[in-house]
Amino acid sequence: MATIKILESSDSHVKLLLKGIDRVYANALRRFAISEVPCMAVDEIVIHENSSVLYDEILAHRLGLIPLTTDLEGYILPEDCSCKTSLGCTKCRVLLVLDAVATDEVKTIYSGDLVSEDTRVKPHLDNIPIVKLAPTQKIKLEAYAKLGKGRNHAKWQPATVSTLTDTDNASEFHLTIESNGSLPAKEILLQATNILNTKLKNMTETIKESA
Amino acid sequence: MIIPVRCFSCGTVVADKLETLESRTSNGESPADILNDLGVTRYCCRRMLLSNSNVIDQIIQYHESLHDKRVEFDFS
Repeated sequence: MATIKILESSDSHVKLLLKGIDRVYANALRRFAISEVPCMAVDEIVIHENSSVLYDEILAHRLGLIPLTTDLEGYILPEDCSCKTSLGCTKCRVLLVLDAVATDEVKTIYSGDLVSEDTRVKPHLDNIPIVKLAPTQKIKLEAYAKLGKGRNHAKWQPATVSTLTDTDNASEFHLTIESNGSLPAKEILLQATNILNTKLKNMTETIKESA
Repeated sequence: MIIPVRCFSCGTVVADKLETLESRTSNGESPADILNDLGVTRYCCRRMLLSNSNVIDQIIQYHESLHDKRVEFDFS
């Protein structure tokens, strides 16, 4: 009989002992946690002003990598949305605004300075440095966060590290999932299970139809 | 230039830990102990923080002195 025992559990990390579960199935869960569970990340950005020492592209890249807390119920994937616009609509994107200026002293701009239109979707950590500004330098931009999947870009991976390791017993494995903060580690595992189930169901239907 | 937001190899966020590391090392603590404290256990993430050089601080000095000159000559 298959059993799952939770060995360690926190928002950022979960470690399970899987007994009597096929390795293939366990590995599918591990891979789905990385590449199939969607999470929020900044995708499109409109830069109004950037007089900082970092180029626009570097700034955009840094913004994309900031983990955002994700609400999977409130938003849908842009490819499933009917709007089909590059900046998205209220169903598929969240607007974050960054407006910062250094007046007399060198100022570090942190992820906490991003102002989100939705309080459920905001930077998970407030103290990630985005850029440093010299006096009179200015940054003003709109960042559009969207749901996405890890297979398209690493910024959309909710699980940064996800491992399946052997134990002394051949029928037991350790599954460890580490979250980047966008979703709680347990939620990532549940979502991975749901997505795997849906995919298997769809596959069964396709086989039935073609038979 | 500036501390990368995430670890290049595993993708864990490291940028938020640099300031703690810097302030605590300046107090004479061992970097290894601080990193263990912060939960940075893998060597891929540890090298991100230990081998970083904030070149942006040197470049910003130039822009800062530009600002000082502008103020000095009342040139806005």
